[in-house]
Amino acid sequence: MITRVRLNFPRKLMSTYRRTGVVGPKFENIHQVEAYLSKSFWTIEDLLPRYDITKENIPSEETVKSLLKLSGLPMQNLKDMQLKLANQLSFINTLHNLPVDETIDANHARIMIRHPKPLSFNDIEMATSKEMQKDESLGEVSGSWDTVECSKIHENGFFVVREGLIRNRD
Amino acid sequence: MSIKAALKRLSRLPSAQERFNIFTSISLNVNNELETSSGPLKGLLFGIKDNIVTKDMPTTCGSKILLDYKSPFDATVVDLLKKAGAVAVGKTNLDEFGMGSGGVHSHFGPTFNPLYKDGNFIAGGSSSGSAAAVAADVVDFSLGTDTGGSVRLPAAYTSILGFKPSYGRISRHGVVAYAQSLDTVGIMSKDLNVLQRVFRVLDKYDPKDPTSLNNSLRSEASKHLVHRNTLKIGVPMEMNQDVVPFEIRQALLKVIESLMAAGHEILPVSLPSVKNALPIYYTLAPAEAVSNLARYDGIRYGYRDEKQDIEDGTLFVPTRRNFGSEVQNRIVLGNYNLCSGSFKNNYIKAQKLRVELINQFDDVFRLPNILTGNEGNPNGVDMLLSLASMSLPISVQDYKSKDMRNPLHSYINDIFTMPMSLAGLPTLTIPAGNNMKGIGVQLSGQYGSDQSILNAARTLV
Repeated sequence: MITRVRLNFPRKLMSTYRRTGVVGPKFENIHQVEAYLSKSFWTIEDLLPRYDITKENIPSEETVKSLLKLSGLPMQNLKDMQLKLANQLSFINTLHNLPVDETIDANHARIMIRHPKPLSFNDIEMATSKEMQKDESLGEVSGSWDTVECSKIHENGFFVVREGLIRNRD
Repeated sequence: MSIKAALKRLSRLPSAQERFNIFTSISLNVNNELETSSGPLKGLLFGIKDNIVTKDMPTTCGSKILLDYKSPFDATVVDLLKKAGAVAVGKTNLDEFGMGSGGVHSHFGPTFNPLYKDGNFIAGGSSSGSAAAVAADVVDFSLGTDTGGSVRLPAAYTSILGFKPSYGRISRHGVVAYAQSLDTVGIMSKDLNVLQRVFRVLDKYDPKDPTSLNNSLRSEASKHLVHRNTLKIGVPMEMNQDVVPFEIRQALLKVIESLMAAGHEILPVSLPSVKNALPIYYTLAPAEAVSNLARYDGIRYGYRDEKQDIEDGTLFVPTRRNFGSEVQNRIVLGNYNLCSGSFKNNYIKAQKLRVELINQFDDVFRLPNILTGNEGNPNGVDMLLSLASMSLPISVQDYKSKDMRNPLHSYINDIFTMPMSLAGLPTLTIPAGNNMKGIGVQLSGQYGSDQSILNAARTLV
């Protein structure tokens, strides 16, 4: 048997332009929940690019080369990398067209206390003197660890960079 | 647990490893440690995701770049568990550096889902090995890490419990960072009692982790426990998706039906910014990953190219080319996001949109948020309920071919888990769907309400 259910959501719950979270009235029965769950209010496929990747929206070879250089990655499969980046950008560039409250403090994006107690000079002084002391629980024990022991190539206690750090670099 | 029972579990390891590729390394000392262990977790066996450092086993992050790397110290979580009497069985397989949702992007090959005896199905990622170790009954619990859903998605796919606590609740000291503003250590188990006992051991302030929640905020959070017998549970409308298979939606409906029968109130909730969660995540997380992965040059530790340190005038390319393809893709994207033009257009905007999402969660919860200072909505809900995944586990081959056609398809798989990661909320994945394999629902609460989530889960387990 098909049960017809009318869902009376408050208008503010359905508004497309709202920027706040909203709680609607409770469901009275499972049929209302079923009707609610079967209704999709947007589709995640909207996030996938609706256009074909073409010359116009593909990042240039120069851009990809410079990104690979910044990344310390090899200059290979450039065409493939251009295509992958174009796909990724089509996805994240949806942010461009979204409205945002410009007065928001971007630092509040970190999951930390938003309004901490201001530090006093005394607080900073105490923290600094504590930092100066060795902490055994952090492994700060003189002579307990050979810094180059995990290095594949080292000489007289120094790390080695073959070909040098300065020569042969663009 | 008795030593006899632990040894019985352990006896399953060789065949499970051969069939499901769960571990990247195995401890040779388990028997001895079982005999001498003492404490609240005495005799419990556990697996450690291989991006959490250990002194006595290698930490590879599932990458050739860290092949055979051994840390000079144990992560705080490992230290706490050992002191509590739990015994580590081994390090578990994962998507390289935690980047992936299928458990297929590992230098050691994919992890297979123990729920499927025939055929090679994905276990979900990135904590694929940790989930599989629990599902195959080799360990009592596992540690995973969750940046955008990496504990909750594999927990759903393997039909076990997966808990991502509030950000900062469990120490990240010794966890190899992927995206530090999101990374959270999580716990996986089949047994809610075990999960709660493990959480009690790990739920401590750690001065070694600068993002660890301090004791005064922990004490503040403990004043806001949900004490009601009948809960107000919200179901976010933005998580209703046509593309979700009918049987998965039915599983959620059944859970809601049982909650209503137990007297709980179910309410529709709208969080419009959920729609932006994926682009926000893929703007912020790769940008953080770029900084974290910059240290892998082979000079001080880890894999190093045998012949040279420079190629085409760029340092460390010969070594860094050994990152897997998905890691390379995300490094390039992260550097793009951090370039001057994109930084202003994308990165800062993504941060502001993340704040909007956090504020919207605050709008719907009854409890206050101890970090934002929001006092809570008196007409709000105690918890949120949603699905944990958009699809059922598929074969490794299908996953790889879909991923190759367009990696965005695997990115969108995290749409239900990412909003809670961006807001740092405690969330528990609970198996659902009765006899159906690989379906989970998520119970989420206000920041800091971890204990209330675990208590409420008793209604559903």
